[in-house]
Amino acid sequence: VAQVPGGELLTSDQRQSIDRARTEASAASGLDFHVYVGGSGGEDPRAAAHRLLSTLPRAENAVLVFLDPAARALEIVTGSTAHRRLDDGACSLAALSMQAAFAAGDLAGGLVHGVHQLGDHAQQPASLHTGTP
Amino acid sequence: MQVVALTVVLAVTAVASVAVAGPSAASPPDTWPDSNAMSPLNALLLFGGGVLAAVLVITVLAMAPSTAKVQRHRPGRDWETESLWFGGPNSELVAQPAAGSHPALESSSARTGTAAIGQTVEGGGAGARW
Repeated sequence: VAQVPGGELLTSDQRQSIDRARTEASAASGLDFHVYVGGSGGEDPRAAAHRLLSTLPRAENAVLVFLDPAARALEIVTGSTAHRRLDDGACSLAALSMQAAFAAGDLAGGLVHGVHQLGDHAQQPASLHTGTP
Repeated sequence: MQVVALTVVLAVTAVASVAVAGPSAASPPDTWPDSNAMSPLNALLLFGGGVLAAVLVITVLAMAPSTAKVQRHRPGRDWETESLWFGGPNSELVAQPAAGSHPALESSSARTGTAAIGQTVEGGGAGARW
């Protein structure tokens, strides 16, 4: 089977909206959101996701959304600092809604909404009156 | 009853207008140039060919996008491409301190700094299969 350039299965519009969702979630929450779409290299998807997380800069503050479409596998892994703001329950909720979109064949839409959902959940409430004595 | 009457009147009018009609009494003015009559073949080409060409062009324009559509991935099929990163190991950090957050609160997380690669950093997460 011929290799297809990576961008062709997600249109450039879709890739842009995924990247925008990631940037917005990062800005809203202060966590570093990363999205990976690709194979697990024969590894267990969860192990592959954890391995990729450890290669990220500031991994303890990172949230990695790992999607292996061929294995129909989705993993959301959080670094130790990020985990305090984004607990496993919130990750499960986002994973559920993304799973529903993926099952309907909508990779890009599921990613965009899932990342937004994670970012909203990790959002810091604005601290009031801390600037005034 | 009124409907029947109306129908009869309309039918009679229609039939009469065709039956009674004769050739036009007026002839074209003599000053008009005497052009050659168009042959039936020319007329067909002019009035039929143009319409056909328009239909053809519109059909092609309508069908072109769907035939040129890029191949989409279906879940479960092999991912035959190189992987895609949004963010990723080589990215510049994107997280900005949330608007309105207090600098003193940020510094505590900043102090933990960069973890060595391979160090255990996992906090948690969730997974799903479909």
